[in-house]
Amino acid sequence: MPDVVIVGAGASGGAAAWRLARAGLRVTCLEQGDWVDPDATPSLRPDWEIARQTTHHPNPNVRAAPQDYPVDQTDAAIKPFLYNAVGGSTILWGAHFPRFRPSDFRTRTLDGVGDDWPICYEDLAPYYEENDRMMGVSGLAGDPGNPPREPRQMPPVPPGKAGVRMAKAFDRLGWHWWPADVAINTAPYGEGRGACNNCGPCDLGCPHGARSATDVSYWPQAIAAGVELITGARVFEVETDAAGRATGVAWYDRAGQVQRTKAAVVALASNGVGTARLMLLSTSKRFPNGLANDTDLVGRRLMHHPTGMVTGRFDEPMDGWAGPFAVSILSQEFYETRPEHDFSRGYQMQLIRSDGPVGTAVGGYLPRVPWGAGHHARFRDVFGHTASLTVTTEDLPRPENRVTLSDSLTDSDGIPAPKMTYSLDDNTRAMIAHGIARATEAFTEAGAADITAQSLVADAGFHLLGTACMGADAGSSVTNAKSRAHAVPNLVILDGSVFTTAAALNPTSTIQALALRAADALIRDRAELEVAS
Amino acid sequence: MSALLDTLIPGDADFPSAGSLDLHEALLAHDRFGAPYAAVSGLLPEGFADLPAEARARHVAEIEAREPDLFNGLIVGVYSLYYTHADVSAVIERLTGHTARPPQPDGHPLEPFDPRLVEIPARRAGLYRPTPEHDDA
Ligand SMILES: Cc1cc2nc3c(=O)[nH]c(=O)nc-3n(C[C@H](O)[C@H](O)[C@H](O)COP(=O)(O)OP(=O)(O)OC[C@H]3O[C@@H](n4cnc5c(N)ncnc54)[C@H](O)[C@@H]3O)c2cc1C
Ligand code: SF4
Repeated sequence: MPDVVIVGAGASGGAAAWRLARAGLRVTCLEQGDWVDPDATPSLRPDWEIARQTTHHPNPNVRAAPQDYPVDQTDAAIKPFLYNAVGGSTILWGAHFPRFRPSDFRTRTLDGVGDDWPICYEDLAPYYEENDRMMGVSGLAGDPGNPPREPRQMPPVPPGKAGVRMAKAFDRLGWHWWPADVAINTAPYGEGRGACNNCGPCDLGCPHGARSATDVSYWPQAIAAGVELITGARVFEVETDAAGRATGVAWYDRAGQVQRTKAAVVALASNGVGTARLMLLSTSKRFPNGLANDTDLVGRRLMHHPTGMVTGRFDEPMDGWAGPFAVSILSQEFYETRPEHDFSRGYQMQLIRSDGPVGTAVGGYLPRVPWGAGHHARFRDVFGHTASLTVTTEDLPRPENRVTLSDSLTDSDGIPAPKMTYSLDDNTRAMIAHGIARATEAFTEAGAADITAQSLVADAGFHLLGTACMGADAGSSVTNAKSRAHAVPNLVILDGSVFTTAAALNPTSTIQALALRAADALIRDRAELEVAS
Repeated sequence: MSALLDTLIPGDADFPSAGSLDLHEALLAHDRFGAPYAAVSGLLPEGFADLPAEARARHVAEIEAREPDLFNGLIVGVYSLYYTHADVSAVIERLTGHTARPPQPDGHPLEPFDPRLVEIPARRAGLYRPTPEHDDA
C-alpha cells in the first residue's frame, strides 16, 4: 500500500510526488490522461495552426478528446481552459512564472477585502526558489516591484520589437515594467532539455523541452525517485471510513473496470475544477454534501483572473509571430490598491506577442478579420503588426461563483461533469476599465497607429482557483495552512483550489510552491498523522 | 460551391480567392469543419452562384445574423484551411517575411537579452507594499 496516493499528474501533482518520493515515501499517482509525445507536436506540421482550433484547443469542450471530461459552461462568463495528461495544463501553458507579492497574502488586513491567508510570502519564499530550480526560470533578479530573489537560472527571453517599444513607452510614462520571469530555457537547462529557438506557439508543445512543463521537469525525476505513475486512471471517488478519514480512491481503468488504491494519505492535484468535482462526488454518511464539505465551501469562491485585452497596431512590422507567444515584459504599476482608484486591489499588464496567419484571421487578440471585400486589406494591416497588453485583474472571492456537479453532462465513464457558475462583480469591471484606459495610454505613447480593446476575454479561464480555500479557521475554510482538510486530517489538497485569494497574476509558481510546502509538512508530520486503521 | 468561398475570401492582386483553391473537398472531408460548411452551403438560395457579388454577400450576411454559431464554425473552417494552404503561405512569405514553413524544427533566431534595456526601471525604489511580515520594500 502506498503512503500517499495523488490524483492528477499536472503542475502540483508532479512537484509533490517528486518531493515525497525523495524523502522515501511510497507514492502512487493516478492520472486520467496519457504522456504527450513532444516529437509529435503540431508545430512540426504545416497545418499547425489548425491544431489550435481543434485537437489542441485549450477548452476541453471543444477538444473533446477521450481523456477529457466536459465542463458545463452554460452559466460561466469565463470559459474553462485546462488539459488532461501527464503534465496537466502545463502541456498547453505559456510558462509565465511570476510570484505573488507579499500584499497578496494580506488583502483583508491591508485593504479590507477578501481574506488573509494563514501563511505569508516568507513562508513560501524558499519553496518558490526550489521550484524555480526544478522548473528552470529565465529572467532577471532585481525587479523593484517584488522582493529580492536568487539570480534566475537563465537570462531573460528577448522581448521582441514590440517589447522594446513598449518598455521605452513605460519608461517615458514613468511606470514600472520588468522582463517577465518565465519557465522557458534561454540556454540548455535540466535533464536533456535544450534552449528555446523562438518558434512561437508554446501552447502546442516544445520539441526541445525548452518550455518547462512537469512532464519534462518534475516527472522524470519523480519516477527516478520511485513514484509509481499510472495513466489512463480516472478517479471517481475518495473513499472514507466511518470517522471520515480517507482510506484511498476508486477509479476506472482504461477498460472501464473499477479499481481501488488504498493509501495512508490521499492528495488531490486535479486543479481547481477537477478537485472540487471529486470532493463533491465523494459523498458518505459522514459527508453527505461532499468530502470535507461541512462548511459548504467546497466548490465555492471560484476565482479566475478576469482579463481585458488591448491591442495596438503599429505601422511598422513587429514580427510578433516569433518568440514565445505569451511572454515578454510585464508592468505592475497598478498592482496595489490606491486611494485615487474606484476599486480595491489591482492588475498586471502583460505584453503578448501576435499570432500566425490563421490566428490573426480567426481573431483572438483582435476581432476576427471580416469576411468579404475588405478581407485581405485588413489582414495585411494587422498580420505581424500588433502586440497586446492583457489587463489581468485580481478576482475577489465570492461564494456564488462556484463549481457544482452538472445535471446534464457526464464524461465517457458516466461520471457527472463539473459545472462552473461564474460572473464578474463591479470591482472587477472597474479594474478592467481602468486597465484598458492605461494600456491604451501605453500604446499611444508607443506610437501605435490604432488601438482596439476587449473589455472581457471570455476564452481565458486558464487559472482555476479557490474552490477548497485555505484558512486558519475551520468554520470558514476547507484546508489549513498545511493544505490539509480541516475535516479530514489525511486529505491533502495540492492544487490551486486552496488559494484564499487569487492575486492578479499567473498562479502556477505559487501553486507549485504550495504543493512543495504541503509535501514537506506531510514528511515532517507523518508519524503523528491521524490515518485510517 | 466556389461562389460561397469566393464571397467569404475574394482574391486580390496578391492573394488567390478561396474558391480558386482546392478547399471545397477538403472542407467537406474535414471531421470538424465539414458539418458547418455543408450546413451553411445548404442554406444558400438556388442560383446563388449566378448572383452579383453584392447580392451574394447580402445572403451570406443574413445567414451569419440568423445562425451565428453555425456561421462561426464555417469561418473557423474556411480561414483555417485557406491560411494553411501552401499557395497562401507563399504569398504571406513574399509580403511579410513570415516563412512558409512550420514553426519547428527551425524556429527563429533567439537574440540575447540586452541588459541596458532595464537601466531606467532598475533605478526605481521598491514598489511593492509593505506587510506586517515584510516591511523592507
Ligand atoms: C492555455 C493555457 C495557458 C496557461 N498559461 C499559464 C501561464 O503562462 N502561467 C501560469 O502560471 N499558468 C498558466 N496556465 C495555468 C496552469 O497550466 C495551471 O495553473 C496549472 O497547470 C495548474 O496545476 P494543477 O496541478 O492544479 O492542475 P493541472 O496542471 O491542470 O493538472 C491536473 C491533472 O489532474 C488530472 N485529473 C483531473 N481529474 C482527475 C481525475 N478525476 N482522475 C485522474 N486524474 C484527474 C488531469 O487530467 C490533469 O492532468 C495556463 C493554462 C492553460 C490551459
Ligand atoms: S517558443 Fe521556445 S519555448 Fe516556446 S515552443 Fe518554441 S522553442 Fe519551445
